[in-house]
Amino acid sequence: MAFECKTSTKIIVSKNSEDTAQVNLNHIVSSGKSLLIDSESVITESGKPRQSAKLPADECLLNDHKTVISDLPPALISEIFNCLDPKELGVVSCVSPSLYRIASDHYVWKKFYCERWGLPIAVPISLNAECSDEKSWKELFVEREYRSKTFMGRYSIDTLYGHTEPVRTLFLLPSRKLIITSGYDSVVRMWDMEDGMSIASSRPLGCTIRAVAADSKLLIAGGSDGFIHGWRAEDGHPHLFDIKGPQNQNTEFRLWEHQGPITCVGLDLTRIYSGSWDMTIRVWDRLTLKCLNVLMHNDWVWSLVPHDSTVVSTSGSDVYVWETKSFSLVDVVKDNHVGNAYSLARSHTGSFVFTGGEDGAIHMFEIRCNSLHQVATWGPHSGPVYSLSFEFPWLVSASSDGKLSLIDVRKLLKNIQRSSAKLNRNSKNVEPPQRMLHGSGGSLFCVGIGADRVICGGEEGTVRIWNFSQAFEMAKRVSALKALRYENRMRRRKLQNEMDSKGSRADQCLVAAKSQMSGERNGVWYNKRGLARKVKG
Amino acid sequence: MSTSSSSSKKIVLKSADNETFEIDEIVALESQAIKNMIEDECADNVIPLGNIDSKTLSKIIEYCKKHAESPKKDDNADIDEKAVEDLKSFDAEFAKVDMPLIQDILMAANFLNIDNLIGLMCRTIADRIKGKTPEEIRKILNINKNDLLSPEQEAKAREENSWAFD
Repeated sequence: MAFECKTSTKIIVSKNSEDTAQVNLNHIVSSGKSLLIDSESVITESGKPRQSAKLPADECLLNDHKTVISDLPPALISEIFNCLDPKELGVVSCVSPSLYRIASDHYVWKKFYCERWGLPIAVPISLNAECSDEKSWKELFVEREYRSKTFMGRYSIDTLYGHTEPVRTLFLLPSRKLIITSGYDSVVRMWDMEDGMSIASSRPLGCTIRAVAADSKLLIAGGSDGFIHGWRAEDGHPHLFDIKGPQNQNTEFRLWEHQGPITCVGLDLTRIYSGSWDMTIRVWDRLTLKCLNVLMHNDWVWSLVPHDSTVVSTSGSDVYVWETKSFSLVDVVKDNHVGNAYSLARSHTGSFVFTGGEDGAIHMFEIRCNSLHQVATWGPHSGPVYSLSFEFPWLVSASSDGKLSLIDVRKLLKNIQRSSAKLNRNSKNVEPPQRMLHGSGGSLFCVGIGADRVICGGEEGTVRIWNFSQAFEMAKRVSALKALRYENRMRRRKLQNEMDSKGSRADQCLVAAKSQMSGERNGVWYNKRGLARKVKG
Repeated sequence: MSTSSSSSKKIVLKSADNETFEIDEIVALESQAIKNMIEDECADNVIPLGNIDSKTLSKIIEYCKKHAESPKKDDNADIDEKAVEDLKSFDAEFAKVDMPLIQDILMAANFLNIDNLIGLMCRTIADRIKGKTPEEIRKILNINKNDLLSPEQEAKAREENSWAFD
């Protein structure tokens, strides 16, 4: 229902006389309903015009102030938008044209995107040159956000056969569509992420490989004999690394310094990190391959994740945070798990840390002011959690109970932001995992998530890929169809409007209703149907 | 609405509706703009603020006073927690005014270049529109009807942002 009044009728509102400034008819808002009053024509709910439109003062709230939001300089509005999260910004952009413009082009979209997923994988320039319509950060963000939903959708399963013994470790390199795996059979294998074909396999390296890591320059594998085996990327090589070929002095190397089996490796832009059952993490320079420092722990090191200026590691049942400029210990959380803390994952910003343990529990921590604060705990598994992987907003875990759990942390993060002032440790009643995936029986040792896929390796020596990209493609087709239908509808409506305005004046009400729709108001009242449609719109 | 305390230097501000406010210089220095004026010595007696009405200006002075009194963060590391808490609750209380006034204060704070106050007002507005529907936001922000999306635009915006509504 809407209350309206004619332009000709004077409205006197005695309320709110603080400021004697001009009364602007255009600013009357019905206080009870969220509808704006159109000051041009009067109509009651029954559709009959109401002649004297003296609105009761308490029914309308007068805006007698001169400043409205659109008067604020865009920089200030931007500042306000800085305090909003993506969803809220999305809602705000539906409010008015000026807010739409500011919200859609806002630079925070880049921040939103990058703190979740990092910089998008660059499309090769040759391809990019043809499609000149570059996407805005908002579009990128929305697409990615949408994409992350597909992990709740339909999937297809691929199984990669090749390893002859259990697969202990895997690494997903989405920018090159590569999956790198290894395990007890001591062979490093590379697979094509898209078609699941085996690309290459290394010669046996002589011992169990418990850890692999790679980026576009370097591939490293940590062996249980205590060495790191590395391959440097070769220029022009279609799959970066030539792991198949015979020993090549220029591109291959081995680092021997650990006293015990290597359990975890990591890379950042300048360094190599390796953790071992010798209770240390060694930090190496990528170029010189010299060991820069040794980080001592109190127990076997199980896993590590470097990020920016810190490395987080698990040792025994404890979690460590190290600072990598001075190599000093920042924080330790003792006895985090009952038994060993086997696995570790971090969010892209590095500020959230997840650990999985022998006790089947998964803990989530936030690194705030250089210390770890426990945020949440899950217990979806009946056996040890051997591996964790995180891609916003999904945490995926692999366990010896043969299952993977997918946990959406979005709601949790929102609550954290809300109550950032005081986080009580007993707020552990979190949502259970959104989805469980079952392996093909036997323990699962390693898991990775990325590029619409969940990949996992386990006891029976196979690598499994749950591919959710079809769900995304399908959803995209559906929404494209929807958009097309919508466009057609709008076009038809416009056409109809034009024809109607040319045609006879017999059906005046309808004409009025329609011209109302198209935004031109010619002062004629519109009928109920027009109203209903307007409200719907 | 003039204040007086003993020795320190006074600054007189004049609002759009010709009301004058005498305040301590230290309070006025919260505003970067006035600070610059004073430093350039072009603020000899009365500073006219032709675009700020007295209601808004008195609010702003209330804010500056409180903030000028309380210790600055960067002064020393061990400012007592209580002062910080106190200032926080003052800010929260201060922001409990109606939207048009908030927008006026924001405009004025922007003009006077008072960073903390700009931040506070922006956060307040953001907090008020969080979790609301576009209709509610229009009402809260007093969006005027000349500044509405046409049905086509609105439908397009809704379509584009449909992900934000579930």
